[in-house]
Amino acid sequence: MVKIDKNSVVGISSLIIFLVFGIMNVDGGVLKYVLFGFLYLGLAATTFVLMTFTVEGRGEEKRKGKYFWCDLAPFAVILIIAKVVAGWDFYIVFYFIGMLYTTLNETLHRINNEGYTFKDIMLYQPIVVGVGSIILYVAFSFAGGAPV
Amino acid sequence: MNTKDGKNTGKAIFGIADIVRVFSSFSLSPAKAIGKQNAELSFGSLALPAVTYVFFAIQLVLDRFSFVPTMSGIKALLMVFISLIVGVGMSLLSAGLLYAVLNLKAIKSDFQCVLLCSNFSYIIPFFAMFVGLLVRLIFAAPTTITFGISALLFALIPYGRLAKHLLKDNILWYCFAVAANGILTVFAVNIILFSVN
Repeated sequence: MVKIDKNSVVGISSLIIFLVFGIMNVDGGVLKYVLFGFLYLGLAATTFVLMTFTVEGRGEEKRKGKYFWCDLAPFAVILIIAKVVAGWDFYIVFYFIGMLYTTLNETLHRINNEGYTFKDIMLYQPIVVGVGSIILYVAFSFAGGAPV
Repeated sequence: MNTKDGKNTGKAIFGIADIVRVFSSFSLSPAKAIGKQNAELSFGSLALPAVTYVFFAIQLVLDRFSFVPTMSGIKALLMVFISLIVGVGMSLLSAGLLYAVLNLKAIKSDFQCVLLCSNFSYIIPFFAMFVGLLVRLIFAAPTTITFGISALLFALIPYGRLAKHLLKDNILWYCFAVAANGILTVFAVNIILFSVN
């Protein structure tokens, strides 16, 4: 029986929520929807795999659990409330802040708890994955016709 | 600071470097302010979110003057005044929310301390909002979303780190605190947006 990790489910669900909001705002024909669907799906899958791999580490540095994905979940919830209840049009900023929070938490965890300096981990993978993911999400959203 | 023989020890109380160090240290990790609480400092720090929200309202007012023909000076003043109240209210609500969660989890805490730490989460938003206002005034670019709302939501990052620290990494509850505070922020912004038409 396959054991399902609840933190992974939280991470995937949060990324899917951002993905759906991205696709919902694509402006154009069916072909464009399909194209951007694949782009967002690829981004979500790549972010999930790379972030999990780089944060958890491997070998002696391997950490237990994927707790960091829970950091992204509140921002997905806030986005839903902002869109559905408050009627806000824009959505990019939520991914920006959510992913930044996840990345910053991980980076500061390394600095405060594991004795690294910022210089040591300036180009550390979570920062690269997090910032890269934000840049691509913003780029896809603008290319798709985001209402910002 | 000078010693009795007139030598300068180089330790100035609240020198500019100290202020920059304290603010930069507290801006992402407000939990470092724990233990520094007193009534004057805690309630004085309410000015930080209040001014941040006022800067947001000023950007909004400037945008409205550009796009809404019925916008007037009285409406602008009213909007700024409402944002001041919303800023103070939001600060108290955020701290109250975290304090309630801490009490619910039977974690000993002091409201003034939570309030002070919670208000420190507005340090970066305050500066971002100030830069946004400058950009708005110099380049006449609409900055309400890019600087305004982004900066207000950025306050959730240090707030989340504070909640995480105080709740001792209790994932469910700190996620709840961040989500609830974010939802409160969304409605606080909506109050300012729709308070004056």
